[in-house]
Amino acid sequence: MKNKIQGFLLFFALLIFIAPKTHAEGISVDAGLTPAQDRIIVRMQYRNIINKMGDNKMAMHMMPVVVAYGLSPDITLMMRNGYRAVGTNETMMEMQNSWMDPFFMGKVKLFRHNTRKYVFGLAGFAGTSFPAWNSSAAKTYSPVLGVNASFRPNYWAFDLNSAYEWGNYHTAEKSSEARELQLNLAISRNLLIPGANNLVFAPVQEFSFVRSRPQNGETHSFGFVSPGFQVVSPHFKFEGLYQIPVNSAGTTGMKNGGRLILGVRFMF
Amino acid sequence: MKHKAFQFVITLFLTVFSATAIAGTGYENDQNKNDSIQQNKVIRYEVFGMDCPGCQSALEKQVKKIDGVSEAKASWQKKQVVVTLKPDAKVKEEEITARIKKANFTPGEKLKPEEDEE
Repeated sequence: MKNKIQGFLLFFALLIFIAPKTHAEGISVDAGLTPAQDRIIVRMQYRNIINKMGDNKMAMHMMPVVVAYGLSPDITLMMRNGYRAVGTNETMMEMQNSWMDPFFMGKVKLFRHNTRKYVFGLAGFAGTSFPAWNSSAAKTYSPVLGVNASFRPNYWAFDLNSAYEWGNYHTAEKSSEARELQLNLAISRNLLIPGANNLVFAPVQEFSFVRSRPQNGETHSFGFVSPGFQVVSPHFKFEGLYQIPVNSAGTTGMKNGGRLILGVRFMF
Repeated sequence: MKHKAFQFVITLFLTVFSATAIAGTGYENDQNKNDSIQQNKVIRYEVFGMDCPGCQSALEKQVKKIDGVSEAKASWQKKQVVVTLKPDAKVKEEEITARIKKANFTPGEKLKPEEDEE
């Protein structure tokens, strides 16, 4: 137990150490309830993000890493960091390869009801990104508060994630550049794979809605409709998702394009 | 002639003695095996809250932490965990139910072990 905590702290310290060259970047919040005590979850993702400004395209490759630890059955600690590489940039916007600001989050179990037929639970979370030393471009925090609701009848799963984020909050000015309401509903169904007892294939359909209120500019809403899948084993999860933008025209002239997300999760 | 008869008797005695000893050892081994199976007590619990294979490994990890547990096998489909105790181990049921709760699941009824588990 002691060794595992030490190992986790060491990994945590390593992620903080590699974070000095970060820029502020929005980081979505993980859905789901609090995992078991002492559970360590490491998730690595590759995200291919395409944005458009008129006919000009900007393609980015993001590689976020998440480490979560079940401090108790009721409390989960989570840390994220990642690297952003700019592929194609035909727009006038300046965008550089960089580490993202580290993001720390705590999740608390509010309610969980386990029955023979279903599981229903609620978990609250609070987190923020931190400007890492002097290399953070934005020098801001992005605090976020939210609630996860999870309803899992038999082989079905309905996960609703709601969050409110103060994007790029300047502590000196006591104001944020934008405030965002984020809603995400994921529906999936476990399908058993014949001949593979401990392996499950689950088609996933996600619906995301974001309402953004920038400090300078008009409030606008956009979203994604995202079909995907998961392959789940006892210690490993592979997931893929393609986010199709809906009403993506923002006030800056930048339009969201399609986003491909591939991820792998290790559970210890 | 007398000498040969004596040799034959001794050889016969040793052969019978050895055969009996070997057979006896085998019997003793079988007896130990049976005792060992009896001592490896198997307990089966109903568990609510598991909804995927990932939940199985979380529960198994918790239950295996109990001193005296040699094996734990969970099934999210059957909604149960089978716990095998070490020989002579004394594990309180509360310890097992507490570990199930630490995995964020709810212990149900204690079930009878299946025939091949006894």
